[in-house]
Amino acid sequence: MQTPDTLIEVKNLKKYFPAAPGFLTKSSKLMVHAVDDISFNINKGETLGLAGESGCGKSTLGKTCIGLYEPTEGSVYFEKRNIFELKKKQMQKLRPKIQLIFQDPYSSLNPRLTVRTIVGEALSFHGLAKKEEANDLIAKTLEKVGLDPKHMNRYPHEFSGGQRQRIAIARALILNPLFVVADEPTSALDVSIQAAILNLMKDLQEEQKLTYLFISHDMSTVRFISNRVGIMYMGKLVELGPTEELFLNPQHPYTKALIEAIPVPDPDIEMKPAVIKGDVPTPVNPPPGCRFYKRCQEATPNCRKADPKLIDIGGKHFVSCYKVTND
Amino acid sequence: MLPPLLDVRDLETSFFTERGIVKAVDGVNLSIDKGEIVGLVGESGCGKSTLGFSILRLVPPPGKIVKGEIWFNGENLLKKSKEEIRRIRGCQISMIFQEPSTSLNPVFTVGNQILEAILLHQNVSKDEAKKIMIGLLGMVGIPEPERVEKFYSLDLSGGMQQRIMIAIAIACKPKLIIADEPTTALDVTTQTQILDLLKGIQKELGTSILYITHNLAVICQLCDKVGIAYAGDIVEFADKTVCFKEPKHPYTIKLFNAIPRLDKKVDRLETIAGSVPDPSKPIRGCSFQPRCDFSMKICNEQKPPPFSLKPGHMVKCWLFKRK
Repeated sequence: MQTPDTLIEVKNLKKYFPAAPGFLTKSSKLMVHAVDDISFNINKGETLGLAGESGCGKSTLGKTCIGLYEPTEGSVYFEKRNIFELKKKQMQKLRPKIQLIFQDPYSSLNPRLTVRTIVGEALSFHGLAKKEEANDLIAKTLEKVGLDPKHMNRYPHEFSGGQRQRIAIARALILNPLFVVADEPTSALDVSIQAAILNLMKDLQEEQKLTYLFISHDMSTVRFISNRVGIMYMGKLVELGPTEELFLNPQHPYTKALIEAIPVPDPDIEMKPAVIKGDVPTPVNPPPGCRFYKRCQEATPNCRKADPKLIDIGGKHFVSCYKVTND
Repeated sequence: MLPPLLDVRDLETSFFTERGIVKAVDGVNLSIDKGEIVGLVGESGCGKSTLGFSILRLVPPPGKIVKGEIWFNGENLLKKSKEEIRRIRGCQISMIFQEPSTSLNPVFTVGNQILEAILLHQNVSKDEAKKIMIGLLGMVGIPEPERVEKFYSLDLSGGMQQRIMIAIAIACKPKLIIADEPTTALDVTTQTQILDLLKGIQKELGTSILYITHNLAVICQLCDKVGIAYAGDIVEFADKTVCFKEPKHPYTIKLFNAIPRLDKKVDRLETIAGSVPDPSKPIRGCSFQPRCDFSMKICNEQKPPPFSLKPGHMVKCWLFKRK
């Protein structure tokens, strides 16, 4: 559903990968359902947090949303245009508006380029600024993210992890994007540095009216930065809602278990023993029905029949669970 | 009062690199009583892992223990011969590492690797050892031990691999387990299961655990006592409740306020200005002084000694010097 505030609409998006072929078998019919029929909107100026355990498909979803992966099915509308139907030239024109920040600032910056080149490369590629203008703009952007413009001619290895992530943020912001996908941007950083980066991202969002898709496995970080949060499990969006509502009143059994599993730094709160046992199964050709069926304590045979739909239970809080939605 | 099980005194471990001497552990004192779980938290590069390695005398070259004493069960480990320390390692003190996938040998079955630890340290026949091994697998929560025993580590998930590592660690009923970020590579739902398991082992076997991590919340849930490490030293040490409710060291306070909370809504996180000091440069005075809001003249001149605030609560900060 589009509203005037919608910046991005993801509709029935699917992304399947062929499962890695075996030692002697060349091809296989097994498919990894990394993203399986997901729909949601992101409004202008908001931060949508996407949380889930490793392998749940959150990064694939982020990358498919901005056209880095060809989807298996479905569409993504950016400012009302389906990005998968755009011609190459049109897509290239759109690119500056969509930027990405990666997890590991040690591998996402080219060690052989200076900071000036790293941050300014996109400007010249898109022909957005002449050389002198570009230098000014690079300096301004570096300052904005808390780096000294004098260090423009240095190489990435001369900076600490936190500073490198600032360089990556500068690279993303110099084109004045509308939409930034941040894929675990603070997971490789220490807590004190993480705090500074998260604050910076919040400030920049206010200044530049940015829209974020913030992907993280760390629920505390997601709670801090997001306006709305989506929880993923095995390629499915199982719950989506406003941050406070979702954390204080989680409905899906998986969300509940996930939140309960996270230790809290408060000695008065004792941790409950693990609610869900075992590990996340692999999403290779999953059987129909709820993906959480096998580990769910509230499961009934009904849960196995068909995929539960993501249904609004009021207050823009969506849950995909038969128990909750009485479907 | 019984003497502590482990008593580290004034330990100094340095790495003699081409670029200079890096002091990774700088005058640490730490004691662990029998059956106690002590947590050691700190950011990367604070020397917490090197401390763990030092206790087992596993510091890789060019690292070396320069100074200090490590008393374990009434014996100074630093005075032991290589042969003697090998008999203690894996038997009386064992270690669990961060990445189970790299710690397990991919060309031996997991059962074999547990057997190795048993046969090396215990005087039992192969059949008996196998029985012990199957029992251990059951104890760490591996379903169908007889079947899984024949698996290679690659056949198992991260959580299962870590369970195997724990089985190896407890194979000889050690008095102390050093766990170095054992759940960092795991998902939260798996992490909870591993923490439950470690708690259970501590209760059942009375093993002491030194739990090294950067995750404050995990420490809070698992440990009895907490040490906060910064730049090679433990700057604050206290009972868990005291440490989390009345932290005193400026670094501890800042660190606690820098973590995003799951249980509270916070609009802004506190940040710590500056960065961790370069361990290859000698530090004069307090190592946290350049980043501290309460820095005084003396902080720049002399390293703060430990000040005792109440029994069991130690802070290395000049603010707490008695007037």
